[in-house]
Amino acid sequence: MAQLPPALSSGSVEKGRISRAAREEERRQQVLAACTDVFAKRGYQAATVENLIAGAKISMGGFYKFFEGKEDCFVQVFDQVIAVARERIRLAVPPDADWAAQATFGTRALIEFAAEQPLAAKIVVLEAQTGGEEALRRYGATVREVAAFLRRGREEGKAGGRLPENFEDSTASGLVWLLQTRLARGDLGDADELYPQVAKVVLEPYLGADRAQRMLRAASDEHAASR
Amino acid sequence: MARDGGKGEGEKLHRLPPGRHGLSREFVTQNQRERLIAGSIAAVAQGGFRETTVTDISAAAGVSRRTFYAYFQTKEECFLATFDLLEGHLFAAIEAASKPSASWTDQVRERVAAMLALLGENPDLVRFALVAPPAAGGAVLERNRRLLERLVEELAAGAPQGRGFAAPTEVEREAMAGALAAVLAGKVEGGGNELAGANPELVELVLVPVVGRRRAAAKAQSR
Repeated sequence: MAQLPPALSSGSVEKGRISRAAREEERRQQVLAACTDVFAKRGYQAATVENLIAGAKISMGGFYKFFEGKEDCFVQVFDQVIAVARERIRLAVPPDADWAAQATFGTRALIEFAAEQPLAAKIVVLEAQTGGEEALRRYGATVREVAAFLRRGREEGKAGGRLPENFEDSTASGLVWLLQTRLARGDLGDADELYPQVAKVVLEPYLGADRAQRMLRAASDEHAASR
Repeated sequence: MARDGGKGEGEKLHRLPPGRHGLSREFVTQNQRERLIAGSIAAVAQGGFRETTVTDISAAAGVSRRTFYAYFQTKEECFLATFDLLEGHLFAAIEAASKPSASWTDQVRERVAAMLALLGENPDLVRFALVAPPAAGGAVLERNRRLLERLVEELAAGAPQGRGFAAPTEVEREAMAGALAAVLAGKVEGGGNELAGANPELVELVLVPVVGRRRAAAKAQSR
């Protein structure tokens, strides 16, 4: 088959449709961003569909075109925040990084994200717990995912072998609690100060104090050089 | 109140004594209030803060709704009174377990043991104070946070300073509070009560930021 230039191909009609879909998706993202703020500022329980509509500047019909209702809207907001956070981590972690580097750069990406977008972070660590069954399920799955990542650290060093069986579950909960407390207070603190302390809590059980410190120093040198 | 004196710490929160005769009016009044508090613990442990109604609390306490309103204006007021009573007992038990003559690590072990003994008598206390609050949000969650912050402080009180000891950072204390809640919650999951077995894990958790992982693990396991 001959290769037609794009302008002559039958796909041009399709392309129009795709770009409409893209516009729609962009619109959905804007609505989700506005709903993030409404949920985070009012709290999931107190927020109403009316608040969401007013915040997102859409009609009632528009709202129900995107969402089944308040709970569905919240779950989509949650997924969106998680997707953005994942992307931040993906971009921050070098492709060939070992566990320790993944943990270090990933922690920094997460703390920076939470500091830049405290309302989005609040959705995941605070509001999700009051946001209905589905949100709670996703919240639990996210904390377990963090714990599972930490557990891989046991392969990194001898230190891991002596840890209590459920150590990573309690560490993950501890870190989430830390974020909850600070975000609820409305003050995460300075990301550059917070990140090395959190990374220390993450790394030390597996690498030991000295290796953890060396890892953090190397990461901070690299960070300074890249700025 | 006289009857606060000799009783075991957990008893009142555990099971209220069956009706006694010849009690002073003051006692009955106090008793009904405590009954309601015990009722709120049982009801919340089962259904969560938001789902629990004044009717649920009254039913669990074995008193009428009218009696409830004689003591509390709202269920929230009852919940906060429950936190007050629970905290009072918990921190008194922890303080009583602290023997200044013992080494700090031994004191930590005794404090953790006292906490677990109290909570182990009625695992619903853990469900009320640590498991249910996140889904409730608001004032209840705030109380839960303050309880945990203070718990970490009290368990680790008097940590030695100087060579070979580190001062825990704020981040370490916060992470410890969240981890403590997670460990305790894990021990009462699915209606169980494994609190008695949590001592080494919790002692290690409290010791680590001060003495390091290796020494903390060794101390936590030794008996």
